[in-house]
Amino acid sequence: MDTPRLTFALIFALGGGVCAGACGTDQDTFVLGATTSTYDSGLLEHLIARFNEDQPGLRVRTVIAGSGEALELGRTGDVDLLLVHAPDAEARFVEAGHAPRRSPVLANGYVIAGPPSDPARIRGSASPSEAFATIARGEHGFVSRGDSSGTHAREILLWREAGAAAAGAWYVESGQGQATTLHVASERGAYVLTDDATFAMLSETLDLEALVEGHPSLRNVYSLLTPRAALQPERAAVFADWLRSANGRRAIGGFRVRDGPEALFAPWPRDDPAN
Amino acid sequence: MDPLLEALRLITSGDLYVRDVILRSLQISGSALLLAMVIGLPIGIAVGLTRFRLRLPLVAVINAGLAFPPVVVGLGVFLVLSRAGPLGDLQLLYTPAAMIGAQAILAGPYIAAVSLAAVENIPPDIALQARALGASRRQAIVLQLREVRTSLVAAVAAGFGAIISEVGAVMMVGGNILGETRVMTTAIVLETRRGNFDVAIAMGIVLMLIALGVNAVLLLLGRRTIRRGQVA
Repeated sequence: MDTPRLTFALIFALGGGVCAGACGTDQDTFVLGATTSTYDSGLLEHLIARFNEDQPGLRVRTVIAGSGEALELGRTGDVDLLLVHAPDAEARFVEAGHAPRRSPVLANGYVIAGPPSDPARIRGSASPSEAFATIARGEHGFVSRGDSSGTHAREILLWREAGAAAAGAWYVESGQGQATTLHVASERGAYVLTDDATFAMLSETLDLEALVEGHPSLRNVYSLLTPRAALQPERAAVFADWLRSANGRRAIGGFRVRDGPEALFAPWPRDDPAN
Repeated sequence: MDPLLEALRLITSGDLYVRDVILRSLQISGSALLLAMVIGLPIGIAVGLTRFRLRLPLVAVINAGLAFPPVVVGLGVFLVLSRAGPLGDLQLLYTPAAMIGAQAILAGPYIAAVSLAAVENIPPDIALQARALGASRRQAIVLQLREVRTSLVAAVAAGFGAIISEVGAVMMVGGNILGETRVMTTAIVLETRRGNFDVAIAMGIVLMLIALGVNAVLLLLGRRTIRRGQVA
């Protein structure tokens, strides 16, 4: 066969096999809109695998977006269930009538990380806002998500609490997910606010250390919301109910990042009367 | 372990995740290419072979398609397919079909523009001679297309190379869903973000090989064309 004919044959062969695997999904599915922090750490894949052991017939299709974008996808009905962590934005979402309620389901912690040399000396700060004030006063490098994610919203809150203006050459916005933002901070030797799960996931590849953590104002609570515009609210409810069940709570607490020793996510609220 | 070695191990051992993502990339970009060919080639050939009023504006529109920024195409397809968009009822957002559509929109004008240029450059006397020797109009067109078949294949191959390595549009309209819409480019972005450099490198190597393969095909075709040119 000459080259053009062979090439055409190859192209058709590639195109032909398509709908075999990619198109047909007869299984029941729904779309879950979740944040980069829950996905990049591997938590969601872990939870969905556990869920499918109990409910093999329902397939969860996960779309990853920052909390702000995820809520927007919920408003338009492009996702059936939201797992997000931006309490103020969630409250506004419910107030505007886009979802009947928000139900907290799991929590982890935020961490202020920075270069091991800690040029601003924030290690051991009494509070996160004090650490932020110190960073701003010394104009030490800080990398922000800048993407209306839940972490970005918390960062803005902390700057406000610190009474500091997050502006100037020392303050940059990556506009990307948590993991990319951590890499940027690591490369620039800058400070960064992150969730502890993504940080633990990437700590080996980062030149950053956790400097301030464990403070109540660094608590990070994830909530489930079923948008009113959802197309598959019943299927979404099956997954939401499972996450709140004993098995779901056990799966949340049992997740380990890279087989590490520490549980990084906890079921929330801690003392759910149902359990 | 060294990520590069681990990446090579993933490729040679036929790691399920890596293989699944590669096959899905080929399926999605393959069908997009098929769609783009079915639409792009006839339009390019027809506009190239005929002369009519308003032909020049049409050529300009097709050529503009060469410069479509992929993320803008992605944004457009996203807005159209979103539930709030005009085709929201079809529920195609975050499906392979949406990705195929976006990639076809990227490759279609490309194939049309390149094939148009090739057909336009056929010496007009070929058709005249053929008709003079008693060929039907259809036979004359087939003869003309035979003259430029290598350029037509090159147009298609280049279109394939462009869409299989595209990441912005497929990320926006496909959603990078595991087992459904995760392709090589979006997987590389995700796995790099997650620090799984071995998986990212493995997919990167395969993507490079495909790109090089496409280039090799183009090069071979170019040499053939030159040889034929010398003979003529």
